[in-house]
Amino acid sequence: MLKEKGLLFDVTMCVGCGSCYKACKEQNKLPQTNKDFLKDHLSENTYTVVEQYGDNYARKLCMHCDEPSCASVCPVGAFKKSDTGAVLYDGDKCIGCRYCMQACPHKVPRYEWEKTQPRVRKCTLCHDRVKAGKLTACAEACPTEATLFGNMDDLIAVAKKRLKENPGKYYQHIYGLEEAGGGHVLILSPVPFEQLGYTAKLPKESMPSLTMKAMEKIPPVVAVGGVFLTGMYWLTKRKNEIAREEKKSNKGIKV
Amino acid sequence: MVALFVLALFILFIAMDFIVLKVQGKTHPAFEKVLSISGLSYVPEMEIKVPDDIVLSKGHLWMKKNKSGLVKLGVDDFVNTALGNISIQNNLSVGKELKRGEVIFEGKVGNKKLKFHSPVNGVVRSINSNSHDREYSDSYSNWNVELSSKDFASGNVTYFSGSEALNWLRQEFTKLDDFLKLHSAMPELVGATMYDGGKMVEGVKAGLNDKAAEDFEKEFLSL
Amino acid sequence: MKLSEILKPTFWKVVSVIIVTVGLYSTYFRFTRGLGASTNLYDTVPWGLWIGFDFLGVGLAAAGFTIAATVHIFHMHKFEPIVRPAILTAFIGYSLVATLLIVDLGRPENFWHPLVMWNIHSVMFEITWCIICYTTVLVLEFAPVVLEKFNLKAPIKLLKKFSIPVVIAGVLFSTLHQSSFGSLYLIVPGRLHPLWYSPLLPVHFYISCIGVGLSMIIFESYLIARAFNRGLNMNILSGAAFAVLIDLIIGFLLKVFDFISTGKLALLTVPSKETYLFYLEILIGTFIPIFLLSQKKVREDRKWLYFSAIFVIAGFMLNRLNVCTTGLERSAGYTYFPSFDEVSITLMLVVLAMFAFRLVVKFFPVFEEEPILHSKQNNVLETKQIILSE
Ligand code: SF4
Ligand code: SF4
Ligand code: SF4
Repeated sequence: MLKEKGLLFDVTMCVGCGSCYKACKEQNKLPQTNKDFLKDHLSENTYTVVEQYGDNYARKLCMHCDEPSCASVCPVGAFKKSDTGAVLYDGDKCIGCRYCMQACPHKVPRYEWEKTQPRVRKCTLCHDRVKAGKLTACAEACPTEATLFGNMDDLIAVAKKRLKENPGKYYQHIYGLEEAGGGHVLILSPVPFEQLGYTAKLPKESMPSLTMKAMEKIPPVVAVGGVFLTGMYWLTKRKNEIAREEKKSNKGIKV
Repeated sequence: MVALFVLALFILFIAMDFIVLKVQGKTHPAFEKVLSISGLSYVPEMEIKVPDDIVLSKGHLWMKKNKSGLVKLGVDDFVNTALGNISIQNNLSVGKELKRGEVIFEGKVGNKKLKFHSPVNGVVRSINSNSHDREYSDSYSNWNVELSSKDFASGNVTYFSGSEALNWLRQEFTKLDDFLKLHSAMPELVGATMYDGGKMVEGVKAGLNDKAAEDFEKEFLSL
Repeated sequence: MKLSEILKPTFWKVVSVIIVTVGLYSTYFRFTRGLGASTNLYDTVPWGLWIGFDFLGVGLAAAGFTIAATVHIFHMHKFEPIVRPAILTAFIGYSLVATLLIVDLGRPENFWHPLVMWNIHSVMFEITWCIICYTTVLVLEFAPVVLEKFNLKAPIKLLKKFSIPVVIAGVLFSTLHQSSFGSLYLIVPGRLHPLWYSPLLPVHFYISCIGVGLSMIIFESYLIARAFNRGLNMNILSGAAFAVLIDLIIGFLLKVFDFISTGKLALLTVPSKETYLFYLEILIGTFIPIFLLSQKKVREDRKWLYFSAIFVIAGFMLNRLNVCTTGLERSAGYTYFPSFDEVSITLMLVVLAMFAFRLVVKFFPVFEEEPILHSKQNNVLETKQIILSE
């Protein structure tokens, strides 16, 4: 059913060569930011990094969430989930409030701080290439197939199969499948994910639903509040009138 | 850190404001000495202030010494509250010598005149001709007469200042309340008038009764 | 006021001029060099002092809707004299917030986009709209004061007709956006420290804004008394202080409930920067003021009332800034401290807001009510005259 594309990154297969890092830079025409790619971090000029944790290497990039926080919080709808599964950004709409950066559970979006007309920057899941029927640049460049590109349902099946066939090799969890409502980048690892710098302990429900719970209450609050205030207006007005009338009649008796 | 920084900034500005006022010799409204009157039957609830640099004499004239050693005198808040719109008239001339207890000026209320007595011995130095259009709310910036006086400095006079003045004023207002009770001919009418927010029925306005004016002078304006 | 008097340097005038001059330079710098050069913001700390101040400004201006509702909806006319100052405060507060937001936006030239590009799922979108609508309400509520000045009776009459629906709309808009400032953080359970994160965040924000809005009115009354040489109406202020007390107690009980129901009590014993700041916030903003204000003597004493208001305001500042900076620091992995430009632009806007307030008060009948001393004395005078006549 899902024809949406995604990536599967398998830590056990990654040799830390940095090919994806370099391919991404090339593909997106990004300038060099650090001589040693292992020491680099996500930035407006780096959409993906390879981080070293002992013998393991972990890629970081946008998870292309199914219900992306970044898209849900943007007041002008500058982020959109495209039909390929990529979460895309439209710099012409953006007002630069940076709520997307604040809200992203994976702390992915970066900002062009040094520009006077800055944009938000992040991985695009190589949208143009995918549209043209190609793989993402990083997947294509990967010599070991640690980064695998494909249809989401295929990737999920592959991931499940690997976990099942090599229970000793993997930490039994597909990161990104359910985290924060799930997304289009899946990760397999031999160790618990917090040891590789991934944000662990994310709730399974999608982040936007947390906000929706509060936003849903707006119509009833407005309705009940409106009625209550109008009611109080008439009630207290009437009360004051009665008090005034009583006052008048009291005085009459006294004089 | 940011939270503490902003908090510190906020407190710094407030503290600085206190210090600036202190240097300027002014009092922050939070530290003004005020007397709140309440619970009396004829005198309504209100607040009365006595600035720090003001002293009150027993005859309800306030005095304030300025830098050149001269003493300004005026009618205090109590009189302004009790009598309302009084106009001050005096027959003094600059250079005249005044003995303590002598009439310094008269206040005209309706068609009655009330005498105010000088609380000190001194020589008239100037007379404020603008004092007629006084504003109630600011008794202490409307002075009437300026004297040069030695006994003000020597401490020969009974006067009140600071919290002492407030305590004394409280007693005076209580006394005024009794006074009004005694002299009130139509308590119900007064009661009703007060009840309605003090708006007076048209046409009841009339002059002071002689006895009442005399008693007021004796009770409140004598030294 | 004569020119010479305006030009006469006083301490605060000099300070203000310096702050504004430096602030203008910083503003120029911010717009020509961009956010990176002028702020200490960072990819994982995208919101800093400016957003924090927007939180403060909106909360402190909350008296605009509470007082308007108290007087016009609940008919407690005792508070009438502070309606106009409260509305003016709210209006100026919101203008400050809007200006600061525009300074903070990465693409300020696109500030109008939310008007035409809608995303109804965004809390930020909702806040933007509520603030626009509420500012319109404030303009309508304040318009009679301006019209009075120019003696235009017909439009005042028209406005009077709609005044109650306008006030009700104002209360609703305020309720929504005041609480929505809390909702902004509902989406970051993993980032905001659990001491502050709570599904009830919007409710906490709403309750605390009412108390602090009233405290701000109390605090401001002293500033006005000081600047315009006016008396303080202690009767009204003690009334407002009592409302603050009730509000603080409700807020505290809700917090207790929140902590117990989500099992966060254990967090209170973890020694960390967050815990200490949390304690400080509760101590200054809740315990001390509740202790003070629960005594009638304090509520009626001008000195202690002043300090109580300062405590409530300080506690509120701590709370909001804890939510939007302290509570996020750990997860950001970066310690943010505002840059010089951030501080100076903020200070400049605060000074300009105070200046605007003064200016409006000078030219428009904001304090329509006679000073209290005055009317009461007339009252006695007339009573007295009745008594002394026979
Ligand atoms: S990981 Fe962050 S930036 Fe990427 S889609 Fe999800 S919320 Fe958006
Ligand atoms: S910074 Fe731009 S993309 Fe991000 S939430 Fe704000 S307007 Fe939307
Ligand atoms: S999908 Fe494309 S943009 Fe994203 S990390 Fe890979 S190469 Fe870079």
